[in-house]
Amino acid sequence: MTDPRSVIFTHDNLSRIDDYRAAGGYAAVERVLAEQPDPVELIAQVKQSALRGRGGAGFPTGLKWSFIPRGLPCDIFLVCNSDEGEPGTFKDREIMQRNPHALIEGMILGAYMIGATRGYNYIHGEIWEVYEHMEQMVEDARRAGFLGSNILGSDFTFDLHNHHGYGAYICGEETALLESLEGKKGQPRYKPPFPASYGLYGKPTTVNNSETFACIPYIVNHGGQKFLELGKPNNGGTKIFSVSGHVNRPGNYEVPLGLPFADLLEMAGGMRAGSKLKAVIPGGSSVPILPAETMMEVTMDYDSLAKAGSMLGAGSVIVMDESVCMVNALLRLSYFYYEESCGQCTPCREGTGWLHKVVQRIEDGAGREEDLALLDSVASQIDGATICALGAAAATPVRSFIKHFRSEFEAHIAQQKCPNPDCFTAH
Amino acid sequence: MEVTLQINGQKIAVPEGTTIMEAANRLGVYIPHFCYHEKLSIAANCRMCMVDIEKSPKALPACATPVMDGMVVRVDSPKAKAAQNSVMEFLLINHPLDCPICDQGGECQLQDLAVGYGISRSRYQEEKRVVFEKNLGPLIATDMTRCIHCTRCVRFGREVAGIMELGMTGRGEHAEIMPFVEKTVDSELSGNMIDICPVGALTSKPFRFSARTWEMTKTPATASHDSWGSHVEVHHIKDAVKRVVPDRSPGIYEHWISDRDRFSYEGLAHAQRAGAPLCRIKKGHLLKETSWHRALAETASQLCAAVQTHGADTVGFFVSPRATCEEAYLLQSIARHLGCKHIDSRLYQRDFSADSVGGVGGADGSSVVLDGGLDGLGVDNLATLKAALLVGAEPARELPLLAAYMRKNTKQRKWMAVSPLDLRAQVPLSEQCVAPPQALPEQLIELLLAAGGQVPPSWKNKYSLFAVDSEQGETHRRIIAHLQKAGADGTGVIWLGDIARAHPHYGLLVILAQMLAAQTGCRVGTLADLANGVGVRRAGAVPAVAGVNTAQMLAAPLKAIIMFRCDAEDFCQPLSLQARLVSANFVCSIATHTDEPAAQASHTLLPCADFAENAGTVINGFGNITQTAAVVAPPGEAKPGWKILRVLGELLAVPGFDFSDLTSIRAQLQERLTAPPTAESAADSDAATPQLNYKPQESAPLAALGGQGIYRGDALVRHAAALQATRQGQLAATVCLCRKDIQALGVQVGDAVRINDIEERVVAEDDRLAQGCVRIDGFDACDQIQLTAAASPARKTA
Repeated sequence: MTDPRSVIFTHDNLSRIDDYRAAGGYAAVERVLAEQPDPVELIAQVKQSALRGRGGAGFPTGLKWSFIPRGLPCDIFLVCNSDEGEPGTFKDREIMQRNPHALIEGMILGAYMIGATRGYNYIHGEIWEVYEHMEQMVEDARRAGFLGSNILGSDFTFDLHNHHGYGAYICGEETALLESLEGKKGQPRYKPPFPASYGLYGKPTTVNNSETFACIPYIVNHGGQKFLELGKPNNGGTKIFSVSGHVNRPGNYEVPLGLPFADLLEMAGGMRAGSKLKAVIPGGSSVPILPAETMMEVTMDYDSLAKAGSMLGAGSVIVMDESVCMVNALLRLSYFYYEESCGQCTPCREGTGWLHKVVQRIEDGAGREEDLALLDSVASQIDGATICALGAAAATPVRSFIKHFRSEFEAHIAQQKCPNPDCFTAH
Repeated sequence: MEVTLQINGQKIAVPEGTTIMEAANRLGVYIPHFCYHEKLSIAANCRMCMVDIEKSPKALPACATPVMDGMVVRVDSPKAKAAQNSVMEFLLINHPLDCPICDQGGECQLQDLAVGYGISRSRYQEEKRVVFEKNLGPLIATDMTRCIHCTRCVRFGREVAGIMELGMTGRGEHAEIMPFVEKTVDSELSGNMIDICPVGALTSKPFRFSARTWEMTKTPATASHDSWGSHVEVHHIKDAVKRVVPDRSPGIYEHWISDRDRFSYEGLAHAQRAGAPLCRIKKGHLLKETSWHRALAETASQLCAAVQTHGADTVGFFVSPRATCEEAYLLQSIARHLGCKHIDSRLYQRDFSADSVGGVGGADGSSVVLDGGLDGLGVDNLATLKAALLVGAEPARELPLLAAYMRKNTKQRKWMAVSPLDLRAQVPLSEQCVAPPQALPEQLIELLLAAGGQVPPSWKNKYSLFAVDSEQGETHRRIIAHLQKAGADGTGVIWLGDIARAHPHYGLLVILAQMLAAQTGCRVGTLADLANGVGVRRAGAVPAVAGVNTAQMLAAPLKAIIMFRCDAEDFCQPLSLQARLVSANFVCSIATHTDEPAAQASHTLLPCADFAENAGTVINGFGNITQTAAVVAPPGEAKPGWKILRVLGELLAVPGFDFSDLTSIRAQLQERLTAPPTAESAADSDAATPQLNYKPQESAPLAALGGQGIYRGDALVRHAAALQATRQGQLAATVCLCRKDIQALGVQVGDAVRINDIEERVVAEDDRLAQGCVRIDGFDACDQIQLTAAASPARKTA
């Protein structure tokens, strides 16, 4: 089955390198290495495509690549961040399973553009079979001559290595990922300096998400404009949305950016029988939750969601129906951040535990009147005070859950139990 | 390039790349902080130093934010205050609020800052985190629940101590500082972690709970265990020394002191500390307490009797290089008044043949070797060094702070070594030749030849036993290239350590080092010299013309021996000394402790003052002259050495001994102390061709490596309980060998072996050692050592 509107999930499975090549794969690498265009022009194409980082922050990829200094007499590294570990995310593993060579080809093209000679693909530690699969895929690409020294007879050299982590969420933060790659404890670095000037082993490095790389062959093949037109201005291309929760057909859906949420919900089979949409976390657990009425108005792209008060994030759409107890949902999320904080800097190390304990107290029916103000205050003290974004990510759900569902929290505190009869933790 | 910024309204221009914290420090604006330490790398993890920067939406950490031109910083704006207060609240939620029972109370950064930035009631009412204690060894006590995860101790280990012994494991709230499994913190600088810990998580095990900071008087002093002469602060209550910490006044290297200088004070209050004069009525009787009057009179009359009966040549004086210049001066005055030429302070040396060669001999203090020290290099000059060759030296043991300096400063510098043990773990070496101690002269001869130097024709064919392989030949060529490059602009030095000093052919090593220095343009210095080796020699505690040195004294039938603040283990031939002590008619020990061999063998024991109890002049390895003050009174009836010697001198009718204070003594010897070391190299002097007094032994079984254990160097450290309990201290009871030699012996680590049929010790493994040598404390260095498996059942080390 092929899907002409897709960039990445064009076929059911392109894991076999022959299938990938038959579908036009590696043509971009062959053409680029034969014609040897100016890398700056290629980056201009990426800029024009309005491709924005698919890992969550949505930073323009072309701009990021143009930060890498040129002509330095040192190694430059290219790193693929496949360490997706946030609740709700599951797209990178499917890319690596169904279209791994798009990722590899994208990295080769990216390396050509920034002048990197070595790349690493950092894979989340809990998906071992995907790591083994990628090892095979990289080996296939190497055997076919797309990786290694003097690729396809050109003077371009690039090799790619897979590295699997051990499941720490923090290693998805790009500088913690670099520390982990260097063999150290995965802890974010203070920035500046940014990886573009001081990255892996202190060398200029760029770190991009797997989905970002998988889009690159399309851009090089068809031009930035074509990719941009798939989506909408400033939000070029397609995006994979990982829809989970109370829908009939949870899964990954690659759709053009700018698709109304209602359409995406329909693609996912709609709400499960008899249930009504209550709220959606549109981009993974670290973006603000939005209530149903807001969600039904938005289109799925960076700008529209930002305007609605949330973020596109990694495109991990967590759909919740009326059965969900918001206190209980927040408890799960705050526990996640409490467990995954690296412990390096004070506000996050101490604050995430505090948040979790207070939410636990409310859930346990021991909440106090002042707790909502306390949660908000502690969350805002963490936000912006930490070395990396994990602190802000931990604060966001707390503040947005209370903002949109305050009455539910108040009811928990007033009644000292969950008032929702459907809540599976109700007493 | 300079940039101008404003902090709290004050303008300052600083170089580009400076951080806001550094700029504020220059202005004298205080920014609260915990993880920031000026001598460590930036971590930016405590977040206490958040400041408000104009045009920045968020408060930023001052320690990690570089200045920018036109930056406007406020440390005290509402935004900055809010950020600082919120971090303080977070820090306190899991920190025990029980300062009254915490050892850090009163000198705790967290306690101090909590007053300014904390609130009086906690909003946190959940259970607090509890963290289990860690065993970091006998020096550092832990209260890990108090830890605020600033990682200063971790960074100190990695960046200063040169070995990562602590790390942060676990994540989030479960993050803990801990050592490697089953390991303790064994670095020789570990005590500094106590100082830099901003809370009560790491405290001093020997000191904790014995005093409060505000109860103690704090008096500056000079550390007395190595020639670095660290400036320290003695904290004491009345006459009890409670602890020793570094003095942070500018001028000393960094903020660090060695554990030896920090914890040796425990020896001052040791149970075996000499507190009253002791006297033995007759040979064979027990030492009994007596009055100062009787003890001194007995000493004086016995000395006179020995001189009159057997002649002045049968009296020997040994002076510790830890003695003050005044003490050494008085003692040598007494010796010379008695007509006695036998006095030496170079106890840890057995070959003095370099003394007789032109340019390196004479008692006038004019030669480099005799003057010793680090070749007159002040700390400021140390920074100019571009290359150093360590010969038979172990910096981490001899001069721990020099090792720290070498670790920190590697850029555009070449540190090299010719040594019987692998030094790479303690100093980042660019070149190293590991060879057994017997082969040290060969190594230097090869280096000299590689430098294009000539050896005297009479030496030909006298060496060849330890053939140098081609790989080492390459290394030699590179060493010479580096030395010549640095020598060209006067920034190279060759350092002889105490493994070399205890070598049976030290004289030859000195001459070779000087020839090599002349060939490459470098200087020669000596490393380990205790606190005042330079000073006591300049004061005259070296043999006069026709006098005999330590080695000759140990070989001569001395009738009377005066031991001044030294004991058997201070010598590189302790067993020979003990034999001398037994055969002498009279031994007077002016000592601090009563339980060591010389004190036990003495007929009169005069108790004297030690570190912190004794005023006087010392000269460190850099040639800096320091006056130390007596901080506390010595215990019991013990007296400062100079007072004992003054009275003894008067009893012996030494003219001009009516000094009333130290100043008048100092006035007499002032001229000697400032005698500048006029380095004269052997190669310039044709006065005498050095004789190659050197016979390598064909079948040397095992050579005992010179160099005292790090905590064996003097009586004070030998009586410091905590230091002795460290892993390094425990090595004193072992025999260290490399794995191959252990296998060759057919024993295992932990087994007991018999040494030269004298005593049994446990075998320990030290794979840094070259094959064919063994490290044993308390045995004559470089003597042949015969190890045999002990008959008794094997013991296991702890």
